[in-house]
Amino acid sequence: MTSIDPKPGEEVNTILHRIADAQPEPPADLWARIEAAHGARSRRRRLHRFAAAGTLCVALVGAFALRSPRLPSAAPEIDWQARAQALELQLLAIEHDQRAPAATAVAFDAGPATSELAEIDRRLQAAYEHRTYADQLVPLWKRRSELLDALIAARKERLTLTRI
Amino acid sequence: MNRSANTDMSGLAPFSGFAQIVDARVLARAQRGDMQAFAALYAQFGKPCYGLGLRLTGNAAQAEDLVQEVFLKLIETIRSYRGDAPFGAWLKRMTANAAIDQLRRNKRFVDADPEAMFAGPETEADPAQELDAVSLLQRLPPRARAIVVLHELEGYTHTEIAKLFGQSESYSKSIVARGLQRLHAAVATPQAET
Repeated sequence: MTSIDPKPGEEVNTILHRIADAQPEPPADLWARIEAAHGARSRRRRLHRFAAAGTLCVALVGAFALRSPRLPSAAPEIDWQARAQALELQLLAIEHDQRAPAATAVAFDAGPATSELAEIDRRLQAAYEHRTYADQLVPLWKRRSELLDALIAARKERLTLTRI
Repeated sequence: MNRSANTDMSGLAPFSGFAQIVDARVLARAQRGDMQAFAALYAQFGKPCYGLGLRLTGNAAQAEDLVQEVFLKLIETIRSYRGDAPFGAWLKRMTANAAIDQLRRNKRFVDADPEAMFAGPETEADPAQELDAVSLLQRLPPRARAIVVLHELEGYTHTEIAKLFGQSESYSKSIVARGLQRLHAAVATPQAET
């Protein structure tokens, strides 16, 4: 046979009051952990703010670049290949007009220029065969333009002399 | 007679727990973000905060997490404290709210139906500590324990508890009644007669 405690309510109240009166100590390092968590959270927030500011700057620069009218470049890039080809046509036209090829040696010794031109043409051909990057071709096309300029100038001068 | 700020009107019984009075200068420094002031507030209120957390959660690790959460929130929100209520009462409310949020986050504790809440098997208590205060509370489901603690020990009304939990007053009353019933049953353990 069993019996029930006649005053369980009082006992529960006593226990509950004991719980209410208890002052358990938190772990000694709890504040240090809170400080560390606060520091980590602050750092994370600073990082997020920095990242957000960076993203905003990039977006603003991008938006500005898209909206602003394109300014003409201070030094427009020269298409040396196109220029060399145009000069070559010009040179051919001049040579076609010349009536006295015998005078060439007197007015201008084109030997070094034409041989260098031939060398440049050979290097350009080799470069195209080896699929060289476009930026490496530019100096060759530029030099070719300069040589053609010199040849054209010489031919024009000779043409003038011949006509006089 | 020089009466300390942390004693009652008679000057004899010291205020304790959340009833302690905060030094206005410490509070002002904390509101300016001074971490040393927060350390002083922790020294004063860390213990009652942990005690309440332990009573509400019934678990030391959860109580520690709760204190950490409360003080991190305090650091962020102390500027909004205008002194309308005593600081300790404000912090106590913050602790209770954090405990309820913790209960809500833990899906298995979100059982709004009192019947279902008490339908589960009673948590086993260590036989050696059958009537130990903490183990007694551990016989209650987590949500019921928090409600019983708030009502019976912390002086919250059913209206306040209903508001905190987003439930009706009758819900709070039902949980408290059933919770106490279970505690009484646990205390009135049948004893064999000789």
